[in-house]
Amino acid sequence: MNLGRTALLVFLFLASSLILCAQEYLIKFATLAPEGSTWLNVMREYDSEVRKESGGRLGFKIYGGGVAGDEKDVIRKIRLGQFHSAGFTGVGLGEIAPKVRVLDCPFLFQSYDEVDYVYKTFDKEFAQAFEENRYVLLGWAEVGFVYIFSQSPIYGVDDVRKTKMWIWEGDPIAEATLKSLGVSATPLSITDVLTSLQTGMINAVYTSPLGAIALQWFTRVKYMLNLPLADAAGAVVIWKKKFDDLPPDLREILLRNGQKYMEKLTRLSREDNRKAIETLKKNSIKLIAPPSTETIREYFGIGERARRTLVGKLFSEEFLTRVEKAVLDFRSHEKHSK
Amino acid sequence: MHRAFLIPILVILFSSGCIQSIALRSTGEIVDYGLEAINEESDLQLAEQSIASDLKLLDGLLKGDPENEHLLLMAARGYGSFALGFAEDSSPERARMFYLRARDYGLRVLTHRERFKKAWDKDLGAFQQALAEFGRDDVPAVFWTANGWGNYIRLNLTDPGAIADIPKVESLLKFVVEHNETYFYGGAHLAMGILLGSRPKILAGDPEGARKHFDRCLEISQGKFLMADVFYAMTYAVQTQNRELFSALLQKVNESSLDLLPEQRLANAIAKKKGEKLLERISDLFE
Repeated sequence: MNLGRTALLVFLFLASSLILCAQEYLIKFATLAPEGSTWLNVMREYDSEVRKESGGRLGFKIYGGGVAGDEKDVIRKIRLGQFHSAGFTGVGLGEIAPKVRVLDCPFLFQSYDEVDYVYKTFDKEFAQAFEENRYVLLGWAEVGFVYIFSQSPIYGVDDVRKTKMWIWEGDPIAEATLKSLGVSATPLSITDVLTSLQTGMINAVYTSPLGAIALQWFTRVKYMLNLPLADAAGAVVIWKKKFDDLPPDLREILLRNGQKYMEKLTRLSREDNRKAIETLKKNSIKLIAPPSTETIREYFGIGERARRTLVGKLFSEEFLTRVEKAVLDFRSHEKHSK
Repeated sequence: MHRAFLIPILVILFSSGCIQSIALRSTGEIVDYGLEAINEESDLQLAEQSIASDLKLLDGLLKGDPENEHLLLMAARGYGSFALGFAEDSSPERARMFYLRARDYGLRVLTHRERFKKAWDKDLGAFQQALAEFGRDDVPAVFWTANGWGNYIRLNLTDPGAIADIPKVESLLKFVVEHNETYFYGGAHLAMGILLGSRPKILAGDPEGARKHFDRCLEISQGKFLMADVFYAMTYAVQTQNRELFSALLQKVNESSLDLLPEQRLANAIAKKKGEKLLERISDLFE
């Protein structure tokens, strides 16, 4: 009796300690987003939900703040098996699924509703684009609308041409956009932008409102052209081999919650960007609306031409045309329903 | 005869508020000594209880003497220390509130200058111009304001409005470094190290700059102010994935005696506790 009881206790003890320490499936995850940011907070919520639902069998080990290196470093580490999953923006996405960079194209979207509509409409195709390159999409987590910030006011295209604009070196979309705008831009790494704004080597940049604040560029510019230049995409992905190694129930938990939490993150970062614009105004940044629909049309025409020059490099003409058509259909539908 | 004279004088004194001021001044001194004693305390529980009641006493004294710069500075410093030592790890929400109070007490001293009062919540250019009017005597007020403000931001990175104030805090700290870098064990270097060391280069961080500030702080404090080692490990060492440095710094904190710096026994006791917890997370923080 006593012996049986002891055996049972030992068994229970062993069983419970197995649950506690056996993280059967641990996903090593990297992002540039720093500790304490909205981005990382939501990622941690995703992790704890996955742990809870899987009874502790599945979880992330999260490396924030770029400690695992920049996006290209992380892609290399994923290939080597040192990492399994990551949050990527344009740079990383261009490496692993060039086709999805259609989302980053200039003057394609006017509202976040249009962006969401395209995510939904092309969901399967985007997912396939990742899988073809041995990744699985866990959820979209965009950076958000990117605007032009400058030291002198920008209204029309001519004003953009007069700027000494920065360009992120090696980004084909930015190259195509600025070329079509007729700007000869100065390529610099992100880390040199602030000093170059100070010395006058450049006097205009493009980034999201939150980016302008986090990178402190807002302290060196005075104006923001209030017309989204592009929507900078972002996504959380996992190496397909790691994903395929998971039992089906865990895959389901990972995917379902990935979508749920990345949607939450997208909502929150759009809110952060809205708040960021208010903060910019408080810090004496003036928002400039394009002066006429004519001007807006001109920007849009430039966007269209720029997108065409990317055909064959990132995506096919056929795909681009379908995406553009979907946006236009949605836009006119919205117009009519209003 | 004498007594007859005395009574009216007392009446005049009371009604003019002189006595009240004298009384407040001596209570202020009691608080001074009280805080000094707390800073020397090594028992965290006793310190937590007494610092809380001292802070309320300070709040009360400030109601009676709202512009008293000495009391305002003690409150800025006290609330900042209380948040760091007794709220941050258990309740970030409370810590945020206390850090903000600390900042606001500091700002009440700085905004005695009309120009700074107008500029402190405006853009960076105006802020820096107003700051330039201050001198070496203002270092304590600038430092304790920056301490509350910077720590508030550190715990509030989801708020774009807070993030946007980082350049202002950096300006305050640079001011202290320029005018009296050794103030409070090189605390401005420590705070700069934290600011620059907790973000990657691509997000406006500067690990190398951070390292120089931490090293300078250690040099100034002769390695006796252990909070510097803890934050050096927590930010720079993690950001650069320097596991050896991380372990070495925290090992040193762990082995240091509480009597290393008797007047900062409490801060060092808190640092030791934080260091111990941080060391436990080593496998989560490194690849």
